[in-house]
Amino acid sequence: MSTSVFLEAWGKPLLILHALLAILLLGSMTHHVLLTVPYLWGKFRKLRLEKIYVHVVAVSYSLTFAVGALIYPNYRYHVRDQYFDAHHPWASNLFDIKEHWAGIGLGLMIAFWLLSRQVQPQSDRRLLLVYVFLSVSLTVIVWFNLISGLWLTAIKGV
Amino acid sequence: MSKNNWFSVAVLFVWLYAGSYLLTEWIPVPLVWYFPLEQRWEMAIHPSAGLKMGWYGKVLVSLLSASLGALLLAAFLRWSQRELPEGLQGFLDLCAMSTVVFALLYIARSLSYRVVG
Repeated sequence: MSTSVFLEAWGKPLLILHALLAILLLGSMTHHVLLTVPYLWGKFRKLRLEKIYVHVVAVSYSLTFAVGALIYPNYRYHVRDQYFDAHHPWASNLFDIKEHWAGIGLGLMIAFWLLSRQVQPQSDRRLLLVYVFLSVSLTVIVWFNLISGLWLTAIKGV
Repeated sequence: MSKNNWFSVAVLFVWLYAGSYLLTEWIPVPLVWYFPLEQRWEMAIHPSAGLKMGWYGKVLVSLLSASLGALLLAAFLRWSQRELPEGLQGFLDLCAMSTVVFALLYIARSLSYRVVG
């Protein structure tokens, strides 16, 4: 007897959408961090473009997160419970790290987006370190999550 | 609200969010649990037996506690019409950044050694 979970029939299209959004997020986040890290040594280039990247990051993170949350029950039963836990327990652990990092990243992204609306890199020296820290942290999370997500999906997708 | 106070509120949000996410790993708190096979939700400290997911609840608790803390600080700063002392601002920045790093590394380390059964 097959067991039905939420949005099971939409699992594959939603997974592809999740991956595409994550690629958009990775690109915008990486471009952003390449512009903001030089702020720390006083190089302020393409300030307007940097703000545009933040908006793209905010939208793509929210959408990637939301689609991931929608397909999570399908993964939890059909992939983790039925396959990973028995055959690749390390993959279950890797997914859980990815899931928790994405959860923490959501809070960072909200603050990052709010700060970006106020911060003027050339004059707000106090905030610059925190702002760059959030940009670097989110970039690390996004790179880790995309690579581990692709790796896990290559073993078994929803 | 001044720009400095606005920054302090956002930094407090980061600190409380990462801190409360970490606390839900250590301390039994009431969470919303999802049961994917039964397609139902349950709010509990100790949920019923069966396949369940606590991640949604952890994110929700972190969002609510960080938002509440940030709103309270914003209200206090607006009411007092003062700025946080510079030393306290720096301390807040340091706490927020170190808690985020600690939370990410703690989760990675503890889950790397978890025995799935």
